[in-house]
Amino acid sequence: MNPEAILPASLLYGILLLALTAYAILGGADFGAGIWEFNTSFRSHRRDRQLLREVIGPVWEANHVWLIFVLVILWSAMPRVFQHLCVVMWLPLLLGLAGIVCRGAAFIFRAYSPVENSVTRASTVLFGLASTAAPFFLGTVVGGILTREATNPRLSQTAWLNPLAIYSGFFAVAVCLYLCSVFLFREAGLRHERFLMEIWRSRAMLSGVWTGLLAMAGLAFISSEQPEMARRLIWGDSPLVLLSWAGGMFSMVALYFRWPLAAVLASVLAVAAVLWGAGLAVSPATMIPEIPLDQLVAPPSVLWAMLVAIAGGMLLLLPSLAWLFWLFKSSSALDHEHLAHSSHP
Amino acid sequence: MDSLLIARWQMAFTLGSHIILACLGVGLPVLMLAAEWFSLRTNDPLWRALAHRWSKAFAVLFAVGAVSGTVLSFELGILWPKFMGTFGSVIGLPFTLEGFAFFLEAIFAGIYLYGWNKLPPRLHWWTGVPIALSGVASASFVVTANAWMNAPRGFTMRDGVVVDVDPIAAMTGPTAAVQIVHMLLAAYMVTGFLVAAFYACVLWNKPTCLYSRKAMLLALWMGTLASFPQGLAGDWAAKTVARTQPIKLAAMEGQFKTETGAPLRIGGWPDTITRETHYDIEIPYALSILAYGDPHATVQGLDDFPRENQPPVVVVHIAFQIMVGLGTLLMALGGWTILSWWMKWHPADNRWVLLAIMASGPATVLAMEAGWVVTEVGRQPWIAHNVMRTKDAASHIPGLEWLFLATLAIYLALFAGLTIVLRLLAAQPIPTSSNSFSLPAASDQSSLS
Repeated sequence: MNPEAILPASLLYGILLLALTAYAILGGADFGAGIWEFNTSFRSHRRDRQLLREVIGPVWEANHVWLIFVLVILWSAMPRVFQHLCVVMWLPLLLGLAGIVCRGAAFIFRAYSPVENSVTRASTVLFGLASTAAPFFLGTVVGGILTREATNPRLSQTAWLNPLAIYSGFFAVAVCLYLCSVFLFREAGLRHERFLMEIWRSRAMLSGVWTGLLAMAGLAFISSEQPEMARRLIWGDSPLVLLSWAGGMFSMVALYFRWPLAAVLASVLAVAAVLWGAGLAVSPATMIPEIPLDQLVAPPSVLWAMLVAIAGGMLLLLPSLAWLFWLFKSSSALDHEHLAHSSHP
Repeated sequence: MDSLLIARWQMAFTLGSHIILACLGVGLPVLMLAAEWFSLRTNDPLWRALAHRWSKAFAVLFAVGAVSGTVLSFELGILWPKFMGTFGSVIGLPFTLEGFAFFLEAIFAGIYLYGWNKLPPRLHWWTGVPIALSGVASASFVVTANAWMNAPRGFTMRDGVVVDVDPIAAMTGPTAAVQIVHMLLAAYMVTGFLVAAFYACVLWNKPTCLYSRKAMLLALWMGTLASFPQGLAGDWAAKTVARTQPIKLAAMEGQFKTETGAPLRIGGWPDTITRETHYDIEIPYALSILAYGDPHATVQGLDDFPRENQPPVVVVHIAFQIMVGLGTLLMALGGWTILSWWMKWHPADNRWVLLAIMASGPATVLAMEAGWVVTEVGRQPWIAHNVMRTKDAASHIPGLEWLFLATLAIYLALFAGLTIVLRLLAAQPIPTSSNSFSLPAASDQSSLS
């Protein structure tokens, strides 16, 4: 590979993984809200559902832009990888996309419809279904990339149809549920709603245990199917799987002792570490071996231009994002708020 | 239908739907900020109610636009994998910048929409400004990428691989500036006339509703102010096309044979068999003057180019006529708006004018779509002009026709839901306590919206 391209390409791969992590955590928690609402709709009370909508209202749009960001970096910095993924993964990508479309539209139709009618009722159902479908299919894409990596020299059209990829879809849904419930435990606390806090605490612990069990089953699964991959994941260059395990465990402890912020941070660590472990275990180079690596990434001039653009953009983006989250997610800003409980602005 | 044609229809349909939402995403924040500005200045509850109402409409349209934009970014790869694989890096910079602009728009949309009661009024107004600016920025960056497709540069091809990429040169091609200006003005025209048309429909039944009169006039002014510079931008665009894509100009004008002192053809039907345009009105020398500023300039005809490089002339010529014709009519409506301001008439008091404003909404959308057909179909058979053919970029995934049908169904549901929600929002009573919502002489005081 062109030695000049190694540094910017590695930096951009790191940024790509960071953006993917942000999407998995923020977008994931967002999907989780839809999945929870759907699964508890027959037994949750009004305020419970209201909180779910209220919490994601101001931020869901920004949370999902991370996906666009991931796509744009992928096709600009590694155009051939993007091309290849689109050719072999077109079906799960389209199904995930349908989920994203339906969920976004359903959420906004319901939030802004002034009266209860057939559109809002259909939206509620669609919101739940699509919130589950989107992470499932996007999870199979990631799983497909990850699992074919070790066995097959080439990613193929059926890469997402193997047991491990399907498992990854289910795992992604579980992760969304877990993240969302931990986040809502904190959000209920911020609003001084003890009762909802307890509900979300038990949901968070249950889904945390479930996700943990699923993760262990997955590791066992990978070990038997693809020992080489498992070796790289668990004992590879960095002990990220262990870090994830520690994060998950600590989040349970924090939930037990009712430490909301600690629980949130620990759950974020648990999820981020899994993604980084996966991200470092694959490399774009081995995905498409017939294309030489220096044709897989964009020329250094483009990579550097992108890095400059990203650095400049972040100067605007990060303070804005921080302000958004401070306004709607910090205890001090929420305490000063005297808004009626309503999902409408 | 072969898969190439279906892929093109799929792209055309999704992009053609998205472009309307994108235009409103650029224009509505300006209207909403203007209304909030008037409300801060005058304390008039009507302006505040309008700002509120428009911000809700913006929220819904922006969200649907965001998801339909996500569809496009997936489709770029799924429908045109070879194009993205080969040139993704060359047009990567504008798309990266667009990502940031869109991100900022989403962040400030969250702050603005949910911050009405959280922020001091003036600060709240300022949080809307980044929405309007980043809307302009993201539209500009996306159009930059399209401008590159019309005039690709900033790279060298070696064995089918792109080398020596200069991303800045690729972004600043000869068509970029004019396309950006043309598209942004179109976005403001679409929003202005479409919103005005909606309130004209309301005023048709309740001509004294003060709320709708204010709303219609403000929107009408936005369309008017954009329509006049659009005429100049259109002329600039035609001159640029003449320079960079003479074959597209020939198709737009139905110019089959190379001609010195070419006439401007208004209307007409290009006959692809006899290679002549019939039934048109010809203005002698006008095309040479418009395109090159010289009555005796030579305008290249389609037949100067190989058959396999010629765009579908009928579609391009007709679409171009529709765009120019409707654009001229909209400019005339703009002229009337200025005249009525001079004469202190209100457009709502004249039934004929009200009818014209009602028609201007669909007309402006049609003109914008036609213009987009001109630039896209006029570039065929190339996806990147003279560099890559559309058929070489297309995907070979099976069952594209089913994908297209599914897309049609989803978009139908999407737009039906959108219409219902927007109509419900519009039908809500205006949430203020003031009773000065109608003209003093009005008999029907209760009908506000």
